[in-house]
Amino acid sequence: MPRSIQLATPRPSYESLVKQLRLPKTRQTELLAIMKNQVDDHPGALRGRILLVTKEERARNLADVLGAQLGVEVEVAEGRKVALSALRRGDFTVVLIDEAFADLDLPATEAILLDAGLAVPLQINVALSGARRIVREVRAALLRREQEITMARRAAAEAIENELSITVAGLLLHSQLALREGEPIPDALRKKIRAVAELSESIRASLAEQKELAS
Amino acid sequence: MPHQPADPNSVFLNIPYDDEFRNIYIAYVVGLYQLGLVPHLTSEIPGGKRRLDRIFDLIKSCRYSIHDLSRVELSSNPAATPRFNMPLELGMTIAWAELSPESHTWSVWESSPYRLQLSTSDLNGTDPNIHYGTAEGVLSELRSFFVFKNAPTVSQMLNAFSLVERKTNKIQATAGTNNLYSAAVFKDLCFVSLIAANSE
Repeated sequence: MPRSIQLATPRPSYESLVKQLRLPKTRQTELLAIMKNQVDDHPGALRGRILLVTKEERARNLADVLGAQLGVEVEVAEGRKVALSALRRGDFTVVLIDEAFADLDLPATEAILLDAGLAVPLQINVALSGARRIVREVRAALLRREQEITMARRAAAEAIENELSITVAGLLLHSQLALREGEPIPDALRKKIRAVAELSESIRASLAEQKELAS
Repeated sequence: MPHQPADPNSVFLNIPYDDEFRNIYIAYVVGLYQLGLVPHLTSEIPGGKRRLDRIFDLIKSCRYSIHDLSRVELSSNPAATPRFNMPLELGMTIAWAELSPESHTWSVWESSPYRLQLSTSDLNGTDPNIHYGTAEGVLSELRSFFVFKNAPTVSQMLNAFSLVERKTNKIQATAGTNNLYSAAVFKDLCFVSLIAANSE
């Protein structure tokens, strides 16, 4: 086994190495955005506010600790009325409902969950859980949400791509058939149909390339 | 038997796929790209063939290999069992390099100088590369092992490592998997390591 290996120069180019990876263009764009700090570094990084619904006495202290650790504003609601009013006033990223509250007032909990909108609902036993655990649970829930959103976006992109492939294939077929028809076509129209056929062929090839890279 | 010539820039990474190895793994990927080399993992290869065949195909397709035995130890599961996969792959690689010395060069990497003598005494007389269990150690050893003109400095390599390491959680989250060693995340790590290498 040698102590060192002399590598030949020049080294492979950036372009050839990227090509070798065969990473879909869409993922390359996502990763470039991450590297250029256009996306939060920490999954589950919080934006917006948290609504903490609890009757616990130390709720205010807990809200301060959570706010400091998660870097967001935490609003405390001690009952149904205050919670619903807070939810109507503004968007929350997370609605944390104390299990003790939920056990005591199930209809109120259901009403709060119904009004929570896009906020991530979480139930946690405030009396038994330390702030660290609550922070961890909030981050994990947000990470799960983020992963679900990513997967949903991918599925939507795939559906659009499939739809587009079918439409483009139809366009290509019809334009090629029109060009092969026995009946004479005015030159200007023939030119336009040919342009449509060429454009469809180019989109079809580009879609096929993307599909191959993604597979 | 005739075989496809090995890619002159490819490196087979025989490493443990565990959480404790995270930073060392990232350092290997980043460091190899900094040196213009291309790392490969067994998880990259699609299924279909027997796992052992796939591993052997990968070894044969790579010009170099790095066998990191620093975490070869007893598993923590009940009935603690030694982890044999990596030594087995090292054995396959040594046999291949003996049969085809011009096609393959292997190296053993460890976290401390004398561990190899205890774990694999048959390799006595082989100098392992020691990374002391740190990312900086990996980068420094990679740079000493793979030598080329105008190679980046260890400090430049460390900057690239820090950049990629900071982004790794986000990459995993957007890849939709917690498995850092999955083919998808590995590919992503390769791409961002390339970006980091190119931005130096």
